[in-house]
Amino acid sequence: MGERVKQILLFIFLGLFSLSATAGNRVVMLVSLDPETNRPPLRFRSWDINEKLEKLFKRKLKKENLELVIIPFVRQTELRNELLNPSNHAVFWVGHANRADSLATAGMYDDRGFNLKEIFQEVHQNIKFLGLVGCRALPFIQGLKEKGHWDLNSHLSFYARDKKTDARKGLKRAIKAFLNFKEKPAPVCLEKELLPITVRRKSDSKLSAARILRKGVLVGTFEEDQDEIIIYLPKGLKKSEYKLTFESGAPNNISPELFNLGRLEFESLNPELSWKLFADREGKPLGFGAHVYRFTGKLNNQLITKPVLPNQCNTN
Amino acid sequence: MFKKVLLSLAMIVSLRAHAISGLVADSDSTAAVGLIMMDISQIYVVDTTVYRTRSSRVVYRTFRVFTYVPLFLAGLVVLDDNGKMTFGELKAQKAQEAGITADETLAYNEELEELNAIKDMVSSEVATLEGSKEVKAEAAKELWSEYRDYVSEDAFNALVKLVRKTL
Repeated sequence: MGERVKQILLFIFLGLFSLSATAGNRVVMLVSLDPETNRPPLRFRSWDINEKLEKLFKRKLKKENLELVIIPFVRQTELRNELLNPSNHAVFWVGHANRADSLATAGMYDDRGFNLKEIFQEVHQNIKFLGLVGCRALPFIQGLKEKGHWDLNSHLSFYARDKKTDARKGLKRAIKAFLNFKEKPAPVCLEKELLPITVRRKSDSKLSAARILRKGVLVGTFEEDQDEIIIYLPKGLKKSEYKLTFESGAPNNISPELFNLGRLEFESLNPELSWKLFADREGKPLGFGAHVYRFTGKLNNQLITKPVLPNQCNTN
Repeated sequence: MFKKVLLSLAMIVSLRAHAISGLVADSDSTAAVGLIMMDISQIYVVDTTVYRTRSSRVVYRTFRVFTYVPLFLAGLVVLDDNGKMTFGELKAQKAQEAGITADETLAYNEELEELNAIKDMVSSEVATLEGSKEVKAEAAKELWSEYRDYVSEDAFNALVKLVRKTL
């Protein structure tokens, strides 16, 4: 009997050990590169940047006790899901990027040229390392920190450079940085009292992934064909600060038939909160790839709020 | 008549420089046209040409646009991309340098999202047009004239002054 108990205990111990060996060891490489436009000169058509990166990623990390996940052709939804996945220990991003200058904003682009930079504002606290392999991605990270988007990620180690970056060389360097980084304790997460708003979107055709920003701050994302989300806004702001931008990140030279934002409707516990689409006299939205919703409601001190844990700390 | 001749002359001079995107003369909205036309995939320089008449001095600015040569490094997949131009928040010092009043600065910053929405719309509509840079610049000018009423006068004035200063 005693022997039997020992066997069971040993079995449970081994089970727990194997579980702990993989829990929090998920390392994801997100790639968003079109192989057709990212093939160096004088290469066969079979030369595929995604395959090259996959082989490199696996080879460099095969000796580590890690659960390796590789996702190609990443778009907004996959990026958002992985950056907020509490099982992830480290995330690598390989894609085109540019730094901000006097005329252009910074960008992190998917394989179609859609800018995904705002999605990087929210990174789950369980992610301890982020490798951004893209040209001049370092100022982009510095910008995220300066604007306070990473206040809950002060423990996050990252790799990025302020130089032109080759995909494979950059990935090698990022992996090297990952293998040498030291974990730091995460800052404390606290609930905030926020205004909950239900946002619905309507359209007769297929809806694209898109996000809602308030003065450049990410407040919510829609997946493809998702028609309802809840966003949370801070209270005590000026009217103009409640203006919302609903955007896809689409470049200006893309065909408008390739994405569809739909029209938003807002519903709140506070009926005095309302928004109106910035549109022309016929009601057609003004903008391309992004629509603006002007705040038309009334603000007072009696608005109903709800305690909300930031996405960066959520374990659901 | 004389102005038309000068414009034609300026265009010929610019065309000889191989690429031209727009001419800034005296219209408020035209100032923005050049900036809108400036695709970030291109590098631009500004030439200022001065013509003197007996009674006055006329200045024409010519934007010469050079197509950005993609960087082909053998064997490398360079992860660079061309950014999208976006109007950013206007700080007091820059506003002062551009001669933008406090009211205009306030309006510009409050209507930044709307200005960018219109800019994107103009930019995307121009991108679909066939024709020379001059034709596109003219179309952009017309679009700006059409949409400017959707933002306040102060915000639009600030934008025009800012663009003029930037260019």
